Amino acid sequence: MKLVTLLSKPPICIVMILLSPLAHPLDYALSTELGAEHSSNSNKQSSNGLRQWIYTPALSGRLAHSSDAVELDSDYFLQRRRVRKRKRSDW
Amino acid sequence: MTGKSDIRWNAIGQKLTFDLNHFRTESTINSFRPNTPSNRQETQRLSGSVAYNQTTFGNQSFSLQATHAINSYDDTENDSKNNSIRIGYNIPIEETRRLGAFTEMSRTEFDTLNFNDYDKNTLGTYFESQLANATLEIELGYTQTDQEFGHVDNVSGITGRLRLERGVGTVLPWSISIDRAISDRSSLLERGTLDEIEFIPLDNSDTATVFVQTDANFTVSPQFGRNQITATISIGEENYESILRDRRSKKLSLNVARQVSANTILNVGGQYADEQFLDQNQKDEVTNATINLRVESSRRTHLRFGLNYVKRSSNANGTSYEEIIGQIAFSYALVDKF
Repeated sequence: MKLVTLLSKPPICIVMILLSPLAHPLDYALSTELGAEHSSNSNKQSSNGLRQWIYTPALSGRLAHSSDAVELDSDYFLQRRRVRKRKRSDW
Repeated sequence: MTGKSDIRWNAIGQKLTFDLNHFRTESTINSFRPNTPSNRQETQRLSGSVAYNQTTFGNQSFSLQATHAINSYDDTENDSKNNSIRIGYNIPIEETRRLGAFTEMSRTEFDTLNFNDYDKNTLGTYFESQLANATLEIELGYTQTDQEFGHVDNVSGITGRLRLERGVGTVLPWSISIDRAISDRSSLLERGTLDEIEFIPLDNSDTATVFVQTDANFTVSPQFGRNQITATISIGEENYESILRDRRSKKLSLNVARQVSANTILNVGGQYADEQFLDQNQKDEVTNATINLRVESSRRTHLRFGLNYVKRSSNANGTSYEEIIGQIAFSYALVDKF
């Protein structure tokens, strides 16, 4: 099979696009975060009328690349909110 | 998970380009209710487009762009698909000025039968000018919609935008923008940016009916010594033709970021928002004050401390409250190659 014919196949083109940043400098970052928050809400009529502790583990990642052929900029933040203690708000 | 990805492949230089974009953020589920965690959902837009540019006479050019987008919402049932084609003609006047004309045709189809699929056609012209330290963009057009059922509900009118920006590097950078568009909720996702993720709510997604949106923003961002100040005034209005959802909002925000030391940044901010649902006679006022401190404790670690006060006053029963939130977070960079 001729090389040109082979390269014209869509799956191969997609793989080439995906791999092309690897041939050039690729910037990336991955960080993890552990957070905690305490909230106190005065509304006693709704589920927000609470005092509560919430733990917020998070993961964030960024990927960037720039060349004549491909420009890529990707930035995501994943967070889970875990409520640990609930109590009716006093105020 | 929130975030965004933009990938562009310049297949034949700038002549033929392919774009793949993903944007995931949060919105409120029910816009009449307060913006609390139980009233939020994640929503996303995935779009792919191909654009072809052909130089014609001199530096003039013809462009053709086709886009397919998928909008999805975790909780509400207004998922949709959108196909659009944009044809444009661009005429550079000088190196720093250009004008052009375009036509855009799109079709939006909702997954549910609750909302009306519709076609949207826009014919418009634009002018862009790069002045010394300033940018001017004007777009003016006419948009009409054709809904599959209930043609009396079709929305048409003049649409466009004006943006004037005095650039960074001047003593007093500022920008003013005015937009008028005919859209449904999903098209707000198209305009979303990452910065907005931090300022929930972005939009409310409990309806997908077409409406006319008018927005005006004025931002001034001077720097005094180590203090970077940003003040914004925003006015917005949503007019619905077929349902009772007209909405008007006014927002005022002020933020001061100060580099306290080489590794410490202090952010102090406040926001006042006044939102009215005119047909329901509902009025919500939300006042928000925040203080945040970020300390880079080492090359890989940083600490954040935050205090947030929210006061919501509403004439809707049971939705007024005051809230205080204290936050602390420790962050560790697993890898950082930037």
